[in-house]
Amino acid sequence: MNWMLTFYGGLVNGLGEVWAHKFRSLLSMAGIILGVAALVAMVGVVQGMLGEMREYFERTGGITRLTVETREPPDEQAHIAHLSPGMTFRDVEAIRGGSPLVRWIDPEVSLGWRRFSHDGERVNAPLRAVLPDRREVLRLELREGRFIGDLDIADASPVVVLGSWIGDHLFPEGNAVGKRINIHGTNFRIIGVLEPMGGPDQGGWFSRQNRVGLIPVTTGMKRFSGNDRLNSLSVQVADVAYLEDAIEQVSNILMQTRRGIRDFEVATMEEQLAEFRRMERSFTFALGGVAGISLLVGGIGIMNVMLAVINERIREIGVRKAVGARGTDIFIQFLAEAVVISVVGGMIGVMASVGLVVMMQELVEAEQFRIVLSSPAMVVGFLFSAAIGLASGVYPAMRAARMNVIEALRYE
Amino acid sequence: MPLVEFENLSKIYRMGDETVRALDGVGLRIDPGEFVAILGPSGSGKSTLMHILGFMDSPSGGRLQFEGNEVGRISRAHRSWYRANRIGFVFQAFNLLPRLTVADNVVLPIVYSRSGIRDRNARAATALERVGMTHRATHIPSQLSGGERQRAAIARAIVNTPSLILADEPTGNLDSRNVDRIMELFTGLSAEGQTIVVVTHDEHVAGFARRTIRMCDGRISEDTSRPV
Repeated sequence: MNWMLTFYGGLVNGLGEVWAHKFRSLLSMAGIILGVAALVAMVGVVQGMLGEMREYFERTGGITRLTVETREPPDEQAHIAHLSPGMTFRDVEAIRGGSPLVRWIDPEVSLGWRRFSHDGERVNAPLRAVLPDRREVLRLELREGRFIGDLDIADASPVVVLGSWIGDHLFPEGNAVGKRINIHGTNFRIIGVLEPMGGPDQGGWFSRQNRVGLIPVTTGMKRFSGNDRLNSLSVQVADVAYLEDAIEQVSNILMQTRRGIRDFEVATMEEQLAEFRRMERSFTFALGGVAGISLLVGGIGIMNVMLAVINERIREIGVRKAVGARGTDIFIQFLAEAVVISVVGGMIGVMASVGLVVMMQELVEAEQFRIVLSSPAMVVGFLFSAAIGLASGVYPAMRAARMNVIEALRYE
Repeated sequence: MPLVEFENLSKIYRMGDETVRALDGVGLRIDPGEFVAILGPSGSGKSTLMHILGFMDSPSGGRLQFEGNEVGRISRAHRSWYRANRIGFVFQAFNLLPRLTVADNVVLPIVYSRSGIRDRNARAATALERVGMTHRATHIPSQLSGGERQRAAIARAIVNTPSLILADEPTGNLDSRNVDRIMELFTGLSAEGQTIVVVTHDEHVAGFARRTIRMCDGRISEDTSRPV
């Protein structure tokens, strides 16, 4: 209890000292201020980035998604590998018929970049042939019209759903549904236009999804590719609890459509998830390193100032000891003073970080990059600065505490 | 029971190859209520004697009793306790903390003695009243004259009602008018029963004390008392 009282007295005294030497105190706080501000700003940048990645991961099905990947068949099957038809639309039909654990099937025939023209205006965009399931998997919203339906698949109809970017460019006034559009020499009827994906402050993968044309998978095979080969195939499992069973089911079905040749692998998102976690970890380490170094520099600054302060106040230490202060009292007093410097610095740093992040948000908005103001980072930065003050105050305070009272009183 | 009793007390410093006997077999007894002046040229050992009396230093050899307890070999923390609770110091250079008000300076020994946290301001006010400095309580030392500073320092020395006041050249930085005022203050405290030891080389100052001890080369050369 007594030491708390001494510490409290030291804090009050320390505030007085900081106030009495405003400029010097500000200089000694500079390191801590910059360290905390840098920490909060960098956490903001990284969290914005990781948040976008996490959102992408969830938007593409998360952990319930299984991807069928093409593999080299094992060596003992190499001589019969040509018997397998590869990844074709037959895989889709077989999975649909044989795997009740799969809820959505999302195949894609990528038809490359094509020219979309209407009424003399034209744009280039990727053309993709998909099933109605695509809408569920990516949770696509329609701005107008409807998505590809089962009848469109059955009839291989010449219909197209446009991404919002194409819609904006070819039909600035809207009302695209029902209009005709020419895609690489073939006439299509527009049945829907998508809502833009992601917010205005999201870039990367999300904005790319807006520049695309989607047609029924059967139409794509009949009018463009001329065969039933798929470029990618993934399925969404209804319940994550049956993920292992679903992998087995899909594998068994594919072993039949591929005529017993193991030229595929059913992969989970776990690898991507692991990759994501690795990235998250390395970012955290990089961040922690930079913030740690800058706060360490701040701590050295405080230690330096405290040593100078103690040299200036040898006489005071002598007087305090003469009237009864123990070494512990002196130690706590100067420790408290170091803590005051660092805590005040930490508070200024947190305030500065808010300004810094807001400024960065203003500056980088044009590049569609997100920066968040992280309150946990502010708390951590603040606590860290207090801890640094405590640590860097120990040595100077110990020197003060050990000073000989007679010599300290004689000091001029 | 004597307040302080020395027997064959010695203090030896090592300065490079040389050993200096600052105190060389000093025996001394001071009773409660005495007003003692210790006189001697510089290097006579009077400062060392005062440091040991004031629990700022410990002797190299000999016996040292304070209020009947053997205190020659006690820990640093124990010595701080004695400094806070039993000794009041008055210095030549006043040694008030420049950034604290007079009242806060006077409160310091109470803070470090950990006694009477609640009534400390009242006790500081009483001490300031005793030295006639109530009107300066909220001033800082640089706003005071030399005599006022020393009176504030005396208030700090008496605030914990110490067993012994130790004054080291208390008038060294004062003009002659203030010398007499300060020494009269000491005389008044002595009349109230306060034990006081003044270390000085000024015969005029020593004249205020009832007992005069002269030191030379680390020994007591003369110990005289004038009749009441």
